[in-house]
Amino acid sequence: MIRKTALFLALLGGLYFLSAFVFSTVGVGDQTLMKIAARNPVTPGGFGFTLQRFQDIQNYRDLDILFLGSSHCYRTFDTRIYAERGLETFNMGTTGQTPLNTYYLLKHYFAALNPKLVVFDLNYRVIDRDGLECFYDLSQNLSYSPEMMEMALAIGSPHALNLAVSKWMLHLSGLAPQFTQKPDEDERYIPGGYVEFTRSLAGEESRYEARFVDQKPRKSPARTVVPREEQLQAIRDVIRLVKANGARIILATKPEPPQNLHAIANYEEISRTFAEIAREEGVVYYDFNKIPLPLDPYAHFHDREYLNPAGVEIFNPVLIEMLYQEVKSGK
Amino acid sequence: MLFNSIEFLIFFPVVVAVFFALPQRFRQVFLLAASYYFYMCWKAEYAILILVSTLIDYVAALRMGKTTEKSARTKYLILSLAANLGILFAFKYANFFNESIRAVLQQFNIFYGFSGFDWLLPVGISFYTFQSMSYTIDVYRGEKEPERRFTTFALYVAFFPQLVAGPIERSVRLLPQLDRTVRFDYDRLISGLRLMLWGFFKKVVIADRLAIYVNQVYNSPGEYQGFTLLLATYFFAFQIYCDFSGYSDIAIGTARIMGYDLMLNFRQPYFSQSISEFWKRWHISLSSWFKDYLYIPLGGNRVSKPRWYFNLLAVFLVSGLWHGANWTFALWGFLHGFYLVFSIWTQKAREAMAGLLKIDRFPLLQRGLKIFLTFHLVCFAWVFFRANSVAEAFLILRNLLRLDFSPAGLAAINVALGWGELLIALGSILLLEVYHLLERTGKLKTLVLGQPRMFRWAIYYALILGIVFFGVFNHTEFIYFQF
Repeated sequence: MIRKTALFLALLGGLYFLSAFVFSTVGVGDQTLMKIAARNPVTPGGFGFTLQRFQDIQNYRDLDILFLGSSHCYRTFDTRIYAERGLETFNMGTTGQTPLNTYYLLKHYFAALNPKLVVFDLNYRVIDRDGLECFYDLSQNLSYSPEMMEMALAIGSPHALNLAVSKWMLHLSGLAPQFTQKPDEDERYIPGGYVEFTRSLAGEESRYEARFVDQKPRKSPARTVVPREEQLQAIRDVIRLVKANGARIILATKPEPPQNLHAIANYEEISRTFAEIAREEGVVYYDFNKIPLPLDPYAHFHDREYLNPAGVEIFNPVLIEMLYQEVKSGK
Repeated sequence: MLFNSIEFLIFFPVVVAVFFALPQRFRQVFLLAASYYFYMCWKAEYAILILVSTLIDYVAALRMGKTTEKSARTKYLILSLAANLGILFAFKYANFFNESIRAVLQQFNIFYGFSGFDWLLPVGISFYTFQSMSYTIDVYRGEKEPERRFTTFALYVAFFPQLVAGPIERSVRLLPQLDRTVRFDYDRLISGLRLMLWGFFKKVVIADRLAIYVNQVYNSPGEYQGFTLLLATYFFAFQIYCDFSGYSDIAIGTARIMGYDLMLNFRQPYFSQSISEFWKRWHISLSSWFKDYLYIPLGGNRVSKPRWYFNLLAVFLVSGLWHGANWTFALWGFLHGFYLVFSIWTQKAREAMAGLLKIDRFPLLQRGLKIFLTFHLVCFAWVFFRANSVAEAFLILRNLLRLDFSPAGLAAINVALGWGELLIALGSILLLEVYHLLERTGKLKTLVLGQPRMFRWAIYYALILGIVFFGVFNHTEFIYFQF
């Protein structure tokens, strides 16, 4: 019975890897059987410029600042503004990136980028997620690395694991397909990882978004964010990884229209949790929703969440000044 | 703990290994502890309800066994029924009736301040209370001797494979099994694993994928019409079947591995040729429970015709409410009762019509038509079962027949799932029905189980890899957990 079971399991293992390979090669265009099976909606080279960002990353070494976080990160920290002040920066934000995803990305790229300072944008929207959304994006746009497999295992979803194994199989076989970045009508990739809005919302879209800014107080029921333990732990892991490599790290939460925070029933609690982690780990945390900034909800925001280019122009110099003060104070 | 969770995949092998490693005299206690642990993983404090129900029924049955006096026995039976139905009412129906009273009083502009109870519906409450009640009724009727050992009875009520969603076992079947010595049996292990595998496939690959489509459409019914609503309704029919029969298969499989036989709960229900046949094939353990403990005591069909009709309608109305404290379930149950009454009432006319149209000369066509009609009657009733409210059910029915045959109308069925996933969903339903056809014609054993090992293994591998690659892993609870 034991021999039979061992044979059954060994064959099963082999078939699993073979299927992962076959499923990732069979399909029409970029719609492989693996993508359909894993329910992965991401188009390689599509939304969020992840493909271009991780091709661009090869050009960066010995950074002054590395920005980490979700789409809020890559749409907020404009690397050009830092370059004007002589700072070499890179924005490694990706769509839906949770702290858990951040940790494994950083683990892979830290040595090559070698940043002196890391700015880690913490957003309440992603800390109750498992990281699969981001993994879908990364698995379509990044080449295979052992950290990708580790990330899949940490997420714990069979979909993530299947995608990572298929990526590995393609990598081993040398059959990994090459994709190119597709242009976006509404956004533009800026070398260094920042993504700039090129179109303002108008008409119905604009009115829809304004509703969220106008509500005082919000009429629809507020959402309570329940942070996942593993995401809070991953924030600590990121801090420790940066410190272990001799760099400094600052936690930050970028600003958004104050009225929109009514959408979250426990924003204060989440902010306190981030501050508590920062305090325990001995790093600084800036919640820019609590720091007065000259930002107007209508003039400086693209929608209810993201700053527009005018807002970015105002916010980043403020951050730079604060970072200089922080560096000078030697904290 | 969910069957479709990593925790269960660790819990179950550990329980089986320890169970067979222990001497017989410790096994019951161990299995009882494991069963309570299984339940307490969901909400520990609600295990007290199972314990209370168990204690009351254990004592009531023992007392019944000590007397032959009918009035005393009746007293203990009432105690048991009141306790079980009281628990069930308080936790499942109190808020529903409270809301219904409020709605009625509101019509007369009467203020009603009591906002109801703020407690969760205990998982599986309808299952274990019914199982426990069937025991005291059996003892009362003299069909079963009272169980003297508390652990054996407590295990009968809380046996983890069927604790939260059945099959609702009878004491005469399960209690004697719990008492006998069980030895590890390789054939039972394989057969149990095979059943579990098929159950997982039905749940994770078919039901949970269809659920994505059904939830999207049924949670915003005003946004869809025609083919989309029709497809969502067909999908729900298969979703609920795969979800519940998948659970039953896993439950029966896990029990089989440990040496216990649970009753069959489903027999290809969508191949039924009439509604009465459907109820002999769907959720068999519940329909037979209602037959034995409600329908027959009411007089069954050995009464006047109007009373017979009343009995059918009453039993199905109660069965509907058993499923959930909502008027949608009551209507669903009533509809099935009405189908049965209508079929009895029109039986002669239908036979005459079949003769007139000479359909009976083509038995295959006649069978096919009956299956088609029965399936659609069941689907019609499922609309009420799945809709979030009675008003939404009627909205769905109104919009369901607005079929748009234009390319745009047909393309509108692509909701929530992409075309690729839609094909996977349809393909998996086809696979399910091929399996049923083989099972129905008895060819499953010769075509699959009677084949050489590599052929059988190939099928097992296909199912396992099907689950791993094509499963939907969002840890969706089984639909029947809420009942």
